[in-house]
Amino acid sequence: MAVLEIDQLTIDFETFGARQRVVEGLSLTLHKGEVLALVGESGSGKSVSARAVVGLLPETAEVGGRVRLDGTELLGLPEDQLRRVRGSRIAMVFQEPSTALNPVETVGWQIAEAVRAHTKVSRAQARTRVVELLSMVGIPDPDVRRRHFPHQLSGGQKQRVVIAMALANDPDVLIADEPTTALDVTVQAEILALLRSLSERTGAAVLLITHNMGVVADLADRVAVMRAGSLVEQGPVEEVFAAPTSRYTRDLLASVPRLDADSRQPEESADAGEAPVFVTRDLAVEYPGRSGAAAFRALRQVSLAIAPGEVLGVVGESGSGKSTLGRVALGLLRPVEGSAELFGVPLAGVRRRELRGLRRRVGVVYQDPAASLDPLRTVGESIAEPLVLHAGGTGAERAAQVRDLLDSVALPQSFADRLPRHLSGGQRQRVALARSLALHPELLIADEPTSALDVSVQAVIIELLRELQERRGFACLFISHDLAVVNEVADRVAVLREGRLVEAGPVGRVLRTPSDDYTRRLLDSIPVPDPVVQRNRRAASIEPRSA
Amino acid sequence: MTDLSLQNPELAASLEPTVHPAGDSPQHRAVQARGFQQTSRPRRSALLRGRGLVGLVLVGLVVLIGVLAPLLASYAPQAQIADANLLGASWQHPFGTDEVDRDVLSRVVYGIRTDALIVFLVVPLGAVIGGVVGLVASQFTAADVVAQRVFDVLLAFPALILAIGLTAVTGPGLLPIGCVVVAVELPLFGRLVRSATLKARELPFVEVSELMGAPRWWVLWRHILPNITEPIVVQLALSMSGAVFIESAMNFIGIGVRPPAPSLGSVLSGSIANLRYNPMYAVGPLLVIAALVLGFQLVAQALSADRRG
Repeated sequence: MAVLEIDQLTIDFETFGARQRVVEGLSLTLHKGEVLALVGESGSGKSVSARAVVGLLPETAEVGGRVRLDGTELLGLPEDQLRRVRGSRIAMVFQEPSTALNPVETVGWQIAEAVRAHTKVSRAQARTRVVELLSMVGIPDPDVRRRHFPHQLSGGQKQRVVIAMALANDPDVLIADEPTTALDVTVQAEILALLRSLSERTGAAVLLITHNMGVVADLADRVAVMRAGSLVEQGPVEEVFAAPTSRYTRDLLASVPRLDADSRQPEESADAGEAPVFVTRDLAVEYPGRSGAAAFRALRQVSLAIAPGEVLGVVGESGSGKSTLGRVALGLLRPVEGSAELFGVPLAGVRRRELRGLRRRVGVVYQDPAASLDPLRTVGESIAEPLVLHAGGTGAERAAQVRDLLDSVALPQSFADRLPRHLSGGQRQRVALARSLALHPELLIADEPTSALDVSVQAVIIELLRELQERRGFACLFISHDLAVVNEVADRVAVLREGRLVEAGPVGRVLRTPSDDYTRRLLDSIPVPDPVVQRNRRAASIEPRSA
Repeated sequence: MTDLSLQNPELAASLEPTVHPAGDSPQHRAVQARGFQQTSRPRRSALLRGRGLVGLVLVGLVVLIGVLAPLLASYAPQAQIADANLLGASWQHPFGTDEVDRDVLSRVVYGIRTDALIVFLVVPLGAVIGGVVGLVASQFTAADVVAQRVFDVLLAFPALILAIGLTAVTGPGLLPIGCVVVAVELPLFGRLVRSATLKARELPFVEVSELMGAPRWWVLWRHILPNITEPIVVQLALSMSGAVFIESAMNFIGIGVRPPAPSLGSVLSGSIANLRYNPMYAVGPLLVIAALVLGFQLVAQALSADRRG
């Protein structure tokens, strides 16, 4: 039975007097009790479409077509009637749980608010309902937890609370917009399991919006692929994954980095005789505590080394200390215990001037290419900056070098005159990469260089990074939360957890036959973009968990 | 995965747009089609439409009148006209005449020049001094402590008390007005630049530049200053409207320019005792002051709305 029917939905945005069509003729039907995944990359119009359903678009948007909930037309409904639908019959779960909750109220108060917004109940009844909802979303000790404030909960628990709020009025439709994107992979696995069991138990239809093919394979019954505002393909998840009919879906699936893909063969040439570019021994790093609080120890007893020309992948969840390790290598943080040496120079007591010389030999690429390029300087100026600072030479020589660098990251030379905002995310990251390589660094520190990019762009950037690394032979500290990406890039991998080194070794061994429990759990949590495999895995993991 | 190989750069360049939806999405195309000037210079376009344009026209008109004063005024500002004591508005004297037989319109038109001097010379001076202090404060802790306390003291003084105190020492004139305006602007710009710099210093591209070994002055000059000009320009417009006010207020209580030199505030001040005989005597300078203050406020509003939007 169809709960929600979207028919020929069109959305136009009006900016500066120009109209832009962002969604073109989208038709979808959501049936009772099913999970429909709406997938696409950024700008495909998937979130906008979901917001249009509940009338949450800004006034500059013009929506056409039909949206029917149980036969009732939603488009053009007056605001007070829409409000009755929102939160009771259609509920939403957003990406970032920490901003979706009010920090100065207890979670119990917030769930009770959601209940009382739509039904008249006494305070005692509301309280009972809150406890019931909290236990439904798997929060232990709900009667205690309801009195907690959001900051006392972990990210996963916060998202559970948000889901509890969404379920407060037994909605017919649950719209989940990237519900696990902000979460760590092990937490993501738990939330996905929760969503699945809830949709089975409550019979609510779920419209899942995501860019992650693994999540789709894990949760969805049917999948609809969007691209640039139009529907490219839709069908049962097994069929679409096994035999995608459109080329775009095929490309998208091919771009997803896979753990079972061949990892790099460690280069035999990396002989042990060469001095490592970066080495730590029993390294401990602390962030000073604020206003009397105890210092936070971000890394402890970490010992690892990067040989020249080697790519070391550092993986871990948030708070594992992986970015801290990168900051140590850049000399931004000093060890409090143990030692860290960059090109053989101990970083503990290094002088400013000496550090400057060392940094010259290190390149750095950050996660968000939009933020790591000065918005007011042209691409050429940004790439030339390290050359101006260190290499000297005339303007013409520098311009030639900039052109070479643009070539090496496969960007047209004419891009030198453009500003970062005229570039796409992937192009910006290429510029950042070109800049980091300008001085021919011996070590490249890449901190989540692909996490802000769409999956198809990520695939291209990874390929580019690999190729440049092979050609130029620099060593690389590749920091990522995504084990599949690391699998494709790194020679060796180090797994961090809460500041400790859990496991390290060649990628093939660590990711195929992990010796540590945590690594294994990490690997098992990653949803595989294959519905059949994912279902088998789930079946296998449910048994021991319920026991 | 391997079929996305990048051995061939042309293939690579052509690949990304085909797989990356933003590359040929309608928004993207429209952004490119609209071209550079629309998006690259939001400041200019904000002043060429809506309230920004109204503000700009108001300010421009008043300034133009001040510049063209010798052409527009039918009398010299100090000229005493025979048999014209406190006349009401007429075609010959649109704002009437004052208690010493001078044409009010001519005095107002020349008086704009004094205000323009304060607004366009002294306010930017205060902004520059304040900005430099704020910049230094953001870089050195010791300087920060001193500068912050100086700002606190300056902010603790109401502008008029400061003005009266200063005039008691220097005597009336343009100099104390200038000093008071600078003293009022100094903490505003100092704090603004300091906090904006501290915020900009945390931005990834600034950190990248520092990691490349860029010296401090380079980072400040090349990356931070250009990226904090927008809030400074907004504050500048606001401060200019404030300066018109300070000038008028100081002249009004009689501690501004020395008579018989005209300024908007001094003309207004003279009118009070004679309101009964010539109401236009007060309305004339008030109109100009209102136009200036309103104009600068509109410009500031338009700029800050543009920044946020």
